[in-house]
Amino acid sequence: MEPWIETYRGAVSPWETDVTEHFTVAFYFDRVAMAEASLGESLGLIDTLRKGDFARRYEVRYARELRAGAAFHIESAVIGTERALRFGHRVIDSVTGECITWFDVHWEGVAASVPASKIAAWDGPEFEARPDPKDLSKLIRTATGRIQPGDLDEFGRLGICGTVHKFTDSSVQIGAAIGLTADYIKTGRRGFSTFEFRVRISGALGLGDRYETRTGIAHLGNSSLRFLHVMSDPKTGREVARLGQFGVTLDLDKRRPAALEPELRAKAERLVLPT
Amino acid sequence: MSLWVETYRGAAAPWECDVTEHFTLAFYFDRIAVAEANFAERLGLIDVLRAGGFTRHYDVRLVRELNAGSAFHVESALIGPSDGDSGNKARMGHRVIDSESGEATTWFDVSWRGVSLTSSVERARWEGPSLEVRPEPKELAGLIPSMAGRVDPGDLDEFGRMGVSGLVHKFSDAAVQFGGTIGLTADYIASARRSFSAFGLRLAIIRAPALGEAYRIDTGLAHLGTTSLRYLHVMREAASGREIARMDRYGVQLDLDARRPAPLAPALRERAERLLMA
Repeated sequence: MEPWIETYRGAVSPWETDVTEHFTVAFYFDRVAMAEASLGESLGLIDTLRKGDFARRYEVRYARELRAGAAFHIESAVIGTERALRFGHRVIDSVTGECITWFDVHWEGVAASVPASKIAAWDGPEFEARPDPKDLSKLIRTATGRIQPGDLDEFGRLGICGTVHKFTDSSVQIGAAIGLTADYIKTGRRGFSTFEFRVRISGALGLGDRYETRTGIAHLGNSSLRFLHVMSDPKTGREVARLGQFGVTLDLDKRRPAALEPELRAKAERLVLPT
Repeated sequence: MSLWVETYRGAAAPWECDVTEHFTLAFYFDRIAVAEANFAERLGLIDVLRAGGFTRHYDVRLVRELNAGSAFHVESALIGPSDGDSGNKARMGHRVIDSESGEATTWFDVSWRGVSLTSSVERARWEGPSLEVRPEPKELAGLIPSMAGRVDPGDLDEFGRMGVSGLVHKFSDAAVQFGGTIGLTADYIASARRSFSAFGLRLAIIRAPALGEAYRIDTGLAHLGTTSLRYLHVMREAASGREIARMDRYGVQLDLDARRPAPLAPALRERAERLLMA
């Protein structure tokens, strides 16, 4: 059996696209959640995933956009068993066969015996270390709410898709805080486009639980920005998820990075986290 | 310290916008449901809300639109019972704030009938515009069928019954159906660049239906002005005809480019006049 197996096949619906006019990041995770569960089941690990008492890390490289109506599928495999179980998920454009997004997923502290024949070579990108700022006192509040039925995964807790939808809200909020507002996006034809994600899920929230997310800017380049979002349980203050979101301001017509305008840059500089 | 507390923060997604090209009503209620539960928890009333069994009234004034990608948050406060109210009517205000400008864009005045407050919480002053509610038509014979269905899993709230967002989605379907009967069809909206936009509504929820329950909605036209229309929607149990919820919706026909009220075209007016309730 090939190490890489198909774990999802489908398409992008128009209502799954965002103001940057492409498939929005949370819906990638909607499909990867399915791919992860299917792969877990094929490996006899579905009960481990259901129990969920371990931290998961998702390192994601968005290499090319998917647009409304795009047909795609996902191939998944175990790509390592040292230190932690490590899985790869490749999002493939079903028309061209090109891999357009890579997920390198780590289940921290989970060991399993996997035959060598089922372990694939990782042909995706290597993710360089990006240490988070240690001082998070300048994070600003960017999302508050409660977990609703639509946020749950098949295991009945806040799913990775629901988590990323909340982080997307945070991204819109911090975007607005620096002037990247809905009006500006529409008239200036500039949006924020993500090319790399580092997500760590370290806790679980259930139906009706409250959440709060705080965000800061961990990097500010010419056209690039890295947002750091930290979601916590307000009752305990305990961190439940964290996202390092690396992206660029995008010219929506040319689909190319564009430099931040001086006014936006000045606002962004005030939100840069101390290193 | 402000008596208004933040109960939700997030954004409007593109898929939460409608043919009028703005954040659609049911998703305001999606967020208000979150705000309401958060605020109830703060007041020690979350178990009361979970148990249900009382009538809720929502008077809503939509002052300014939110669009795809808008960042907003909700602030909530206890605003009653006030001096003129009976003691057993908890009254809460929720204001939807544009997070960028700080401007209140929508106001929700919510009453829980028959619910007394057990804790002494200071009341905030209601600064929002009031909804000028007009008498409802006495005779409901002029209502026409506008929606029917069953409660599906996606309609449920965190308490496991049909949520206020699910209810309002159904009333929105009813408004689309009713709009179609007067000629405000999808084709007309796209080609003439005209649509219906609500500026206020009164929603009464008598009880929340359960998963799998069959319901129907009937709608009538309670007012017809030059640009303004008032839809009255009544949701009932399909089997018994017993009322579940009612929405009185005040709106205008909107020029989608100028974002201003526009008079109804004669052909539409003629059809609407035939549906005007006594």
